[in-house]
Amino acid sequence: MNITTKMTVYTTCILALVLGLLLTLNYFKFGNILTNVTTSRLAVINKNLESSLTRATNLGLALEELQFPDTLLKRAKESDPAIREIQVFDLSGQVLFSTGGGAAPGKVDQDILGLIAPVRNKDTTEWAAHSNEQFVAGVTLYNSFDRSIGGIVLRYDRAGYKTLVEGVLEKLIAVTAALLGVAALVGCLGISFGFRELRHTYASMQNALAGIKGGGEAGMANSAGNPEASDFRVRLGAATATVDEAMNEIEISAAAAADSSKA
Amino acid sequence: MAEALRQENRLTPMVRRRLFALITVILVASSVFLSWQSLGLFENALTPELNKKAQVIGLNAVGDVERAVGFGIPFAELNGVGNYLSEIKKTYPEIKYVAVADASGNLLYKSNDLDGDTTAFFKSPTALDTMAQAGASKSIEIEAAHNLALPLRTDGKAIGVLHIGIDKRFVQRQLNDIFFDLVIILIVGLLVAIEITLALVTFYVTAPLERLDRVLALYSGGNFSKVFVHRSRDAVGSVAGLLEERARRLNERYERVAESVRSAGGAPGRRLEEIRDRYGLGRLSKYFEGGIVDARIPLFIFSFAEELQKSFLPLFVKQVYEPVPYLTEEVVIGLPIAFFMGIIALATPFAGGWADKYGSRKIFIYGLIPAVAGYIGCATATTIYELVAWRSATALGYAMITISCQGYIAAIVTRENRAQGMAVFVGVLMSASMCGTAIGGILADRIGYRAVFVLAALFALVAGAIAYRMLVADDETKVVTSKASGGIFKKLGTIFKNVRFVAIVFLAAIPAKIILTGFLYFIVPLYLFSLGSSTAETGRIMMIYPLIVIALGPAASWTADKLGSMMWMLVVGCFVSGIGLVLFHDWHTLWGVVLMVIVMGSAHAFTKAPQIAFVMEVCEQDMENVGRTTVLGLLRTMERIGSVLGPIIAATLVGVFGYEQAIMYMGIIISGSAVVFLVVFALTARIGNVAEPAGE
Repeated sequence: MNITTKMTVYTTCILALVLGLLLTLNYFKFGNILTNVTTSRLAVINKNLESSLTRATNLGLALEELQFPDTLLKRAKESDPAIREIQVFDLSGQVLFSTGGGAAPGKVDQDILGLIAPVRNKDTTEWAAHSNEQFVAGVTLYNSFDRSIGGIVLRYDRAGYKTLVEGVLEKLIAVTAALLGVAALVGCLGISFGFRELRHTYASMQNALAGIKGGGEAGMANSAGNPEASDFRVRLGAATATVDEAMNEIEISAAAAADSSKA
Repeated sequence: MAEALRQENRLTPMVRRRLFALITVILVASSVFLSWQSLGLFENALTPELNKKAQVIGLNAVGDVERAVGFGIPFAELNGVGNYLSEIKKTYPEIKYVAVADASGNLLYKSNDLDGDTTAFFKSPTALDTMAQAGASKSIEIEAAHNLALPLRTDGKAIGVLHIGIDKRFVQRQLNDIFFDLVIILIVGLLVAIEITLALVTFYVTAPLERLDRVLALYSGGNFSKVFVHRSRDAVGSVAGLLEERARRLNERYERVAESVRSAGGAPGRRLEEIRDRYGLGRLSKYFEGGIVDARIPLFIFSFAEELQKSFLPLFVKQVYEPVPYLTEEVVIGLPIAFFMGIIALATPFAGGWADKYGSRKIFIYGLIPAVAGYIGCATATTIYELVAWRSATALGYAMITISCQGYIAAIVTRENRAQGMAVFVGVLMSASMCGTAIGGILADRIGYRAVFVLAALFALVAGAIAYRMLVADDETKVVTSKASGGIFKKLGTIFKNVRFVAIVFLAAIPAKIILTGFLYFIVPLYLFSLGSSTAETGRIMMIYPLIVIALGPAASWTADKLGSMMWMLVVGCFVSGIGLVLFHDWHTLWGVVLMVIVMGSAHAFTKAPQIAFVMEVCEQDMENVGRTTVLGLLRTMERIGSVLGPIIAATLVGVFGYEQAIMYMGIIISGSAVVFLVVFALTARIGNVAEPAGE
């Protein structure tokens, strides 16, 4: 591989690495932002439900005695088809009101409890988590004495989210690939025109080498008219000549030693 | 001969400069284009999502208004609707106004005052058309906002429209935040590219050329004791192959002749000995030549791996938090970081000694054992105790690896390019810190905290593999033989007898860390918060510091090497870093803080690397006695004292005087220490001058 090709490959690899890194980070960043935007929208729904329920419980009604939550939850669910289910549960995790669709009626699903366990350790009334399939957003309900009486949990399908993120990823990949192609081409041209001296140096080395290996005339012919090649040939020639000189001295010394041992 | 060996091939700076420029231009252009495209894609995808949120808010308000009208209250005579709408506006910062208009577009209720254009828009056919579409909302961009119109109905009949104005600036602010994040990602990408380009070009193109030049010079001068082994299929590889083959043949021939003379019962003979001495025969070895850049990539990748956890470690600790007797939650959460810092401080001088004794490469590789074990341990840790233990293990590995790299660079550099070498070390750590912290946060959001630790372990192993390949063999780096007898403490005690070293440590190194951790890490976030800045703004302002240090680092080291007087650079840099705080402390604005950070960053860019180089200059004799890396390790440990003292001093000053005065006093302390430093050096220089002739 000649030096120009080698440097073009390096440059392209570096460009691919950095653009790939940028692509990945942008994709991750977008995923994170969209997650935040989506969960903040779910938080609005939860907040609306929470204020309606809290208004009633502040009047002294027990959560399980309320009559209107089913309609309220149904209306909230209808506001977005991607909402899978909304549940209102008490302190023991017993589901009091639900829009339906839960796997195990009576208690909040174990998988949801598993998802929300770490986030509920935080000192917040609102929380959000997500699995591969769904976003789960929730809010803790408090009575007028600021004591927790239960919570609301909302499960939201991630299919729409995934489609949007994948759509952005596809476009980003297309842009990055096109950009890499153009950048590699520019890099190739830049190296071809910008590193002629280096290429000549390498060529000079090859010529000088050929000259040394092939004998004086071939080398002379190759380096004729090229001062750099001539210079390198002289330096390489000097080095190899010193080797020859040393070898010669060893041989003379060997012969002398042989003579003296015979004598 | 030495000069000839150090003479740089005239092509190498040109190749480095041009390739660096080419890659930078292409990368900046393509990264900016990609970021711009990403921003456009993000805007297109996110605006409808933000609209959906406004719609949820609006639909709730629509439901409430419709319910009230459903109770039979006339639409135009509802009570308290204005307050209700104001409450909605107050709850959601992205909402500029909420208004209700009747079927003719006349404004009935509003959350706040609206301009004439907006109220006129409510009467426009575009706005009134909303009522014609059953149940549909309509998003229209007007001068004041993104207006979302939702029809109000009762008994299926349209009675009016609820308008929600989404603040255009809010959407823009969201996009601005994304833009700044993308800029950081872009900078990270460029830093990574710079690191890789410099290493690849040096390792594969320019260094072989230089080495070939030097071997040619050696051979031309009649020295055949070294062979340059370079297996590549290009011209350098071919020439190197020819020279290697000739030199080996020559050495072999000499050995054979010498052996035959010996076997004949005689000594090699005077003439043969002369030949051996003249041509350096009979002790053939590989030609090794380390470069500053050898340690660059492994150090960068390892430090990058280590910094990945920085942005989320306290949150991760909180996840595994459990009460510890006698300690508050805050203290427990700080324990892994405290242990990490403490172990580094304690282990560094020892690790420095090991690097001197066994060689940098070996210590780098051995350091991976505790480091990788620590990362894997953290990934699987379930209790706070496990986390503390594994972070401590990583700290030991980190201390070994970083000091071995610093020792390696110190061994490679000459007196003339010390500052340049140390600038590489400081710059790589800074770049890795920026990249690791930024990428770590994004990765953790995506793949989780534990997976990031596993990733860090993998990166550390990659760093190890590259270090094994790139760092020259240990025999070449453990050049300084320790003359001082006794244990590490005795050796360290010897160094402390050097007054100038003590002055650098206590009057320059420690103050630099005090201002860094006390001002930048402690005061700046709190002060900016008190000025009303957001967390994102604070993060961006704090990021100015490493960016300036990285950007100005090469210029600073070049200046130091050219200027030759690192003492003055230290004095001026230390003084200026404090003066910035004194000058801008009473601005009471974000821009005042920005200026302070810029001045401090610029001053530190000019002192960080020269400070290490200056220690090497001042401790030349000590390095010979106790080991080069041991001295550097001690310096790093002493710096940690400053890191610990910084927040304590800052907190005390803030508690007593408030932010502005505390900043000013910190500045005075730091600049004052520079003045004392100068006095100490002036005095010790006089003593040195007087002592020298007496000694002679």
